[in-house]
Parts: sequence; C-alpha cells; structure tokens
Amino acid sequence: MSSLVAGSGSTVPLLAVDDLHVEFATRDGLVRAVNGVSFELRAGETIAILGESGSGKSVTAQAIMGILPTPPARITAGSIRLEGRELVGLRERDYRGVRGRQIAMIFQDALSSLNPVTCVGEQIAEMFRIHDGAGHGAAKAAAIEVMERVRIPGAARRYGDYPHQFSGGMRQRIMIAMMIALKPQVLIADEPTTALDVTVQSQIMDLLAELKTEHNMGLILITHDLGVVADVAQHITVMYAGRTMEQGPVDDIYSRPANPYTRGLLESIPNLEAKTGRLPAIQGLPPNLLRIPPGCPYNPRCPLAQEICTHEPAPALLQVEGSHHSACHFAQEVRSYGIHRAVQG
Amino acid sequence: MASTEPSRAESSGSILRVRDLVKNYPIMRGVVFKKQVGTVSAVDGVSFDLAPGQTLALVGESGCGKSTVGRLLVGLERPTSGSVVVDGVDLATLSPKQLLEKRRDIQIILQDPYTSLDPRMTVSSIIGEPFEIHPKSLPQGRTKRQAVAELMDRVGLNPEFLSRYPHQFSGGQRQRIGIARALALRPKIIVADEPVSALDVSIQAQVMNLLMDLRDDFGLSYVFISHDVSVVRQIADEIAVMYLGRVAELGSADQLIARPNHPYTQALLSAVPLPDPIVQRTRERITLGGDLPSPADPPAGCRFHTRCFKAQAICAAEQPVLRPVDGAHVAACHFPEPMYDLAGGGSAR
Amino acid sequence: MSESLSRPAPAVEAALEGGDTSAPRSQLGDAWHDLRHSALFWVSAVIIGAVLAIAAFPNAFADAAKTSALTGGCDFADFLQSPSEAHWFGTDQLGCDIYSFTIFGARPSIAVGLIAALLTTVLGTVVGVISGYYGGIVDSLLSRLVDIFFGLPLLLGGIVILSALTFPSIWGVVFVLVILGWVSAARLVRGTTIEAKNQDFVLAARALGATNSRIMWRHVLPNAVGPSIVVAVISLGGYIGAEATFSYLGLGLKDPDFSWGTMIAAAQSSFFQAPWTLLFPAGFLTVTVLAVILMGEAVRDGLDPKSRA
Ligand SMILES: Nc1ncnc2c1ncn2[C@@H]1O[C@H](COP(=O)(O)OP(=O)(O)O)[C@@H](O)[C@H]1O
Ligand code: SF4
Ligand code: SF4
Ligand SMILES: [Mg+2]
Repeated sequence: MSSLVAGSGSTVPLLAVDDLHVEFATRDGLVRAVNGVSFELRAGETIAILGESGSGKSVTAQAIMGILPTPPARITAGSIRLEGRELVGLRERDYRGVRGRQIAMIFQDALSSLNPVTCVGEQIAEMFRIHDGAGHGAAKAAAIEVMERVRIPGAARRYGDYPHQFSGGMRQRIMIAMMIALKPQVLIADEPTTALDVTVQSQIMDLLAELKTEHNMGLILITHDLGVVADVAQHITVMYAGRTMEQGPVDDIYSRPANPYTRGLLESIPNLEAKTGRLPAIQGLPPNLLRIPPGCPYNPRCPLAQEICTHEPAPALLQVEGSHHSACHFAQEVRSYGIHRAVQG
Repeated sequence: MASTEPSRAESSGSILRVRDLVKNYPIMRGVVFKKQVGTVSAVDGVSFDLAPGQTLALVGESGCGKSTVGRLLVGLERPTSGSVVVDGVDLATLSPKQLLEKRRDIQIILQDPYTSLDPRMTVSSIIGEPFEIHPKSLPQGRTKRQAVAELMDRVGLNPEFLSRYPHQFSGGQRQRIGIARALALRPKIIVADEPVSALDVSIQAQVMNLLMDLRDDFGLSYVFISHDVSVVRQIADEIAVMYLGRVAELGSADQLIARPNHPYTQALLSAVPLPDPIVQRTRERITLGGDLPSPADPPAGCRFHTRCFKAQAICAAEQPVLRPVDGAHVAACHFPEPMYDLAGGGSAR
Repeated sequence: MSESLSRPAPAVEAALEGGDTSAPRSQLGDAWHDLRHSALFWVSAVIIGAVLAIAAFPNAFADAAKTSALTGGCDFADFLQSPSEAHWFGTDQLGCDIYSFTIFGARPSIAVGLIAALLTTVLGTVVGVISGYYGGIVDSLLSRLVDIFFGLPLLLGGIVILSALTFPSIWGVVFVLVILGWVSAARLVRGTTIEAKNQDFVLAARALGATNSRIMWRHVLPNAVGPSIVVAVISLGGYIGAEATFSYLGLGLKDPDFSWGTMIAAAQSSFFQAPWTLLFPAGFLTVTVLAVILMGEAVRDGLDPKSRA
C-alpha cells in the first residue's frame, strides 16, 4: 500500500517514508510497533506526527535516524529515502555521515540526553570538532555562535556551565543548539516541549519555527498534543497502533477530520474558552501491540464501528480530497459530520 | 502579612481555610556538621478558602510552589508559619495521634503514575494500605479484599486485577489506582497534584471525568493543582494563579479566564495553545522574556517585575498586595487592568 | 456519601469469585521468567547445587575415615601417587587420598563464604537502611565510619587482623570477612534506600499516615535490598576465595581442620612433581567461585528492568 501523499510537486521530496514496518522481538512475542507508515517532507516544511503514547511515533523517528536497537528491533518492510537515497539497510559506517549532518533529532528529556559531567559549551563544540574537524578555538567560537542563535542569554559566559545549572527550557535550547550545529536538512523533534511549562513551550516552538525558516530545514514535530502544533505544522500525520490513520493539511485535519480517531482526539482536548462539563473522552485503551485487533485497529474503541470494521482487513489510506487522506471505511461520512466542540458547535 | 487575607467576606462555611502559609527550606552545606547558607522561599503568604463540594485550582509554572502548598495541606511538610484549618480544626494544634485521625479527611493524589505506586506491592495491597493504617475506616461488614474490589470498580478498574502489579497497567489505569487509594478513607478533601499531567489527552479526559463524577457522588472538595489552564478550566470553581510562592490573582474560574487582571495571568493564558490553527495563527500572544528567577533569591518588591511587560519603578520597590478588582476577584498588582479574549473566545465564531 | 459503596456491585462479587485468570507477575516473577531461559543461570545453578550437596552431605560422596591418618586414611607408603582407580585424584605427600580431602574440604570453604555473606548483608542492610532513611547526623556519622572501613583493603586488613588474633580458626576468618566486608553492602543499601525513600510512593504512604517503621519495612526495604542480594551472591564468591587465601597464608584453618585453601597451601612444595595435588582443590575452588559470580550476574540481569522490553 504505497500512498505517497503530501504535496503534489514533481521534485523528489527531501525525506520520503513509505510503508514502513518495524517489529520488536520481545520475551512475550512480536511487538508490531510500526505497521505501514508513509509520509513526505519537503525542505522548509513542518509536518507533525500525532498519536497517543505507544502509537509508534518514536519508533518511526528512531528508524529514520537509524538508531533503532537491533536486535530486538527489525525493519521488516518499507523504505526511508533522503533526497532519493535509500536509508533502510544502509551500513552503520555510512549512516554516521547522515546522522547529525543530514538528519538530527532532539528528545523530550534534554537533561538525560546531555552529558552531566561535561560543560554544555564543550558538548556543542565537540560536534564541530568531530564532524567538521574544527580546531579548538574555532570549535569554541562556533559553539558560542550557535548558543547565541538559540538565544541563550550570556552565551559566552555560560559556555562552561553544566547541564544541571540550566532550567528545563534552557536545556532544551542547548539540545537544539547541538542539533542545528551542523546545519542538518531534516530536524526531528520528539515531544520537544512535553516536559516544559506553557510559557516556555511557546518560546521553544517559536524558536524551532524560526530556525527552520532560517536554514530551510524540513522539521518533523512528534507530539501527542494537538494544541501545540496547530499553528506550526503545515501537514499532519495521525498515527494509531503503528498505522497512519489520517494525513493532510493542518486546517483540514482540525476543521474537518475524516477519521473517527482524529475526531476523538480533537474532542477530548479541554477547552479553555468554556467549561464544558464532562469531556467527550475516547473510551478504552490503545491496543496491546502484541495483539492488535483484526480489521481496523481502532474498532474496539470506535463509536462508529460497524461489522465491516472487524471483518474486512484494515482500511487503506485513501484520498478524501486533495492531499487529505484517511484510513477509515466511513471517511467521507465522518468528514461531513464535523467535530463537536462545545462552544464552536 | 495579614493584608493578604482574601477580601472574601465569608469563610466560616469553608471546609478548608488557609492563612498566610509560608514555607522556607534551608540551604545546607557541610559534610558532618551542616550549616545553613541560605533560604529557598517556596511559599510566601498564601491564603485561600475552599467551600464544601467546590474545587479550587492552584495554577502556575513549575517551581512556583503549588506542589509545596499541596504537601503542606496534607501534612507532608510542616509550614514555617501560617495555618491550615481543616473543617474548623487548625492542624498545628493537633497531637500526632489526632493528626493521624485528621489525615483521613484530607488525602492526596500524586502526579506521576509511574513512581507513586510501590512496584513491589500488588494492587490490592496498595489500595488496601489505607485500611491497614486506619483499620476503623474499613466499611462495616466488609473484608479488606471486598472493600478494595469495590473501590476498583468505582474508579473503573476491573476488580479481577486485584493481585496484579502496577507495571502491568497503563499510565491512566495506574492513576486510577492512585485515586482509589486516596478515596479509601472517604476523605472530605482531596488534593490532586497534577493528576493528569503525565497522561495522553484522550486518557486525560477519562480521568478528569472520573474525578468530576467522584466529586459529585461523594461530595468531595478538591484542591486541584495543575500547570494546564485548559484542564483546570473544566473542573475548577475558583482559580488561584501562583508565581514564585505567592498568589498573583484569585477569582472565580469564569471571571479570571474571561477578564484576567494580573499581567502574569494574562501572559499565562495567552501562551495556552489552542487546538484551532486559524485562531492560533491570528491571536495576540504575550511572550515572557527570560526564565523564572530562583526562589533562593526572589526579586524584591513584586516578584514578577523582572519579567513583567508593565513593570514600573514602584514594582521593584514595593510588594503589591491582593486587592479586589471585581467583587471576590483579587489581584496582586500595582496596575491591575482587565484584558479580554485571551482564551481565543473573540474569534471562535 | 457511603451510598455508592454500600452494597458490592454484582461485577465485584463475580470478580472476587472468579479471580484473575491471567497471571499477575511480580518483578521477582519477571526475573524468574528471564532466568529460566538463561543458559548461564542453569550451568551455574547445577554447579552450585552439586557443591552445596557435597558440602552438606560429604559422607555420601566419600569416606570420612580416609581423611585422617589416625583412622588409617593415609598411607605414607602411597605418597604422591598419580590419579588411579584407588585414588581418583591421586595422593598427597603424606599419602592421603586427595579425592576424600577435596570432598570433605568443601564444607569449611562453603560455610565460611555463606556465613560471611549472610552476616555482611544483614549488617550492611541494617546500617544502610537506617543511615539512608533517617539521614541527618546519624547518616553523617555512619557514613564516615563506612568510609574508614572502606579504605581498608580486604586482604591486607585481613592479614593484619588475623595475624594479631590468638584464635585462628574458621570463626576468625568469618569475623574478619564480616568486619571488612559489611561496608560495601552498607554503602550500596544506603544509596538504594535514599533513592527509594524519595520516591512518590513513600510520600503517598506518609500522606495516608503510615509510621516510619511501616514505611521502612513495607516500602523502603523491599525496594532497596534487590541490588544488595546480587552483591551478596557475587561477594560470596569472593569470600570463598578469601578464606582459601587466608588459609593458604596460614592465617585461616589449622590442623587438623582443613579446607580447599589449606590443601592448596600444602600442595606448594609438591605440585611440580605432582600437579594433581594442586589441580583438584584449586579446580574445585575456581569452578565454585566462578559459578557463584556468574550466578550473581545472571540474577542481576534478571532483576534489572532495563534489560527487558
Ligand atoms: N526496545 C524496545 N523493545 C521492545 N518494544 C519496544 C522497544 N521500543 C519501543 N517498543 C514498542 O514500540 C511501541 C511504540 O513505541 P513508541 O514509538 O515509543 O510510541 P510513541 O512514541 O508513539 O509513544 C511501544 O508499544 C513499545 O512498547
Ligand atoms: S474503519 Fe471503522 S472502526 Fe476504523 S475508524 Fe473507521 S469507522 Fe472506526
Ligand atoms: S506590580 Fe508591577 S511588576 Fe508586578 S505584575 Fe503588576 S505591573 Fe507587573
Ligand atoms: Mg514517544
């Protein structure tokens, strides 16, 4: 099921993930973490990957970065192409040239991704020394410059400070500085603001958007929070049980979702504008990936599920309109129904 | 600091009364003999009242002292000064034994569903522990096992899973276990410290709904601590916005969100992401510069003046007290002024 | 407000009768699940089982009479014979049967190790939990004490103390190992205790009104001892080796008592002519120590939640 989606330009996309499948061999059996994810990313574009925890977002990101723990993980099918070059099956030695330089990634927990016993300036400077072969002085100057670019106040003065001496927001900036140091073409941010306060969250999001434009990068934002990415992303991919449930331009997804799962997610966001009483929650829990239910994986929780949803194979990701795609037998019906948010209704 | 007393006239009908609560933590240095080298001012003069069946939310960024207030309320910490009066009884006047009894009235739900349950105990021992500590609170004619199973059923857990261990449950289910444990002693007040912050939105909604149902069924009062104003909005009757250990603004949820008067509340509301790309792209946002100052060295005068977009000379010199801006709605700012539509309401149509 | 809890719901009753059909698994249960599939675990378990059996029931494997010249066990005429039908492991310079000696030498070696490991773990755990849980001045003093003992190397310290003792015997060796060994257990348990006591579940128990002793016994200890059990197993191997070393140096067991260590010492003068005098006691010692250490590592891997998905 190859469903190439975003954009319609004929040029080769910067990054194209097609029908990716990843499995983990665990003590309890095969965990099918990613079961057919496809998306494209163009230079200067931001896409968001949305889904509940365990939906396979991080595994997808790790597969792109080539940092899946193998074993237990195995890419069983699909392809990941960077400017047309196949990354699946690339030798570790060649992947090292891709990581950091072409694709970089920042993580949710900046504190544990930074080395606690090396000062932050050194950690950034190291990127220049190892990858660019810069000398000591040049690397330090370059490090201070990126620290300034991510707006760390008093960058030169704070070069020698250690990670624990920074606040959560500043640490995330340091991670970002490290990752944009080598001017990668693709930046993956896995829940970059989940651990931060709202006031800091918006600062970091603004910073990422700015840097993206400045460097003409492709940005992949991974999150479970639909609110955070609403104004930053152009395209959204919604994942459930390792599959793409819906994909399309951000405005379409938010105003006319064509998949009951996306609609459920949107409806369960608490509304700041008004007290709505009980929230329309999605019932039940995400499936155990050892035993994904037959048919559409969402059927046990889906309020619209019919017999066809359990008996037929999982619905394919089909076009709804333009670049808006949905994997649901009743995509058109759902789309025309709209969403129910108390005030907007 | 008696002036921080809320101007609300009536406090006799409250189930929880907090007055001028202060908590300082000493900063110690030294190997064998420790010496105090400084003070962290975590909570500095917090006062509020909670009426039966009502929910008061404490909102603010991490490090603003909201969790410390929560711990002071349930007696996990002793206040440096100030009083906590539960159902007419000042906790400071109680003997340890009386305090133990009083604890049954006020219980806490903790944020992290992964660390707040003992990994080596089964669900039935976790939820049953309150009955072991307070044997008298076991409902009449019930074995502990029955009581635990009923609690599990009540919070939406399958009672068949009595003898499972915490790691066999998802985050949302674990939080339900924590709720059942807090419910076991039939408290009058529950302090919920970021109970849904670690959960996915979809699961968040389930747990919030459960908390609302329990409040209505058992006539509980909540002190609901959260950094997420949108979540708070759904459950709170009143909101207190905290900044660096002090209450910046306090009022009914509706008023405070529709017409915030304190610059910090305004910045906080304008930073809340709204799940609507069109509103989100066009709304006006107030971006705060810099980081939260260290509570070990809080700014003089108004603690917010280092980041405030309206600060004047007087703000660094003089601490603003909570003053009414509109009836029971109070704000601690020298220049309070309402702002509208920060919650995106203006463009929702 | 007791209304909604006044009668067990039918679902609850059914559940209480039916019970959970799928198995609940504790962390130890998980560890066992992993260990069962570990070849390392089974190999070391079989070796340790065999050695324990020998130590517990030596008479089932050899004849006690053969371990003493008084009971006609040694015939000087047979001295330094190579392994044969009559003497499976050969004989030593006094003509004694090495097989019988090796079998009967197991008990003191194993006993010293087991008793020392047990006592160091108990002592270390008690000190570590108290120190870590109460903190403050108690902890400062205990930590300094631990630091002092930690600076003493086991072997050097042991040699000094045992040389000064007037009663060199199996108990002297145990005494030295416990005195010098408890500190590492105490350090470890202090660390895990501090970690455990700062966890939210301890806070939750305190909020319910749990007493200090309840928190220590029910919550902190079970979460703090895991690593110290692993260390106890690994150090058991070290203690068995240390007993051999002290005995080899003449500071441990004295005639007529003997262990693998005294046998190795006795083989000093003869092993060039008769390597088997060294080979068998040293081989038993090495294999036992190795098996114990491997067992410790297998258990550690099994208990480590990070090593599993
Ligand atoms: N190292 C691993 N071994 C086994 N399973 C794993 C491993 N890493 C991830 N998984 C499984 O893959 C699934 C998807 O995980 P993840 O991509 O982290 O989800 P998300 O990022 O959407 O929260 C999870 O169910 C998880 O259990
Ligand atoms: S295919 Fe069926 S179960 Fe799946 S989302 Fe659509 S309606 Fe729901
Ligand atoms: S008192 Fe001054 S600094 Fe403080 S919030 Fe008001 S305007 Fe800002
Ligand atoms: Mg993830």
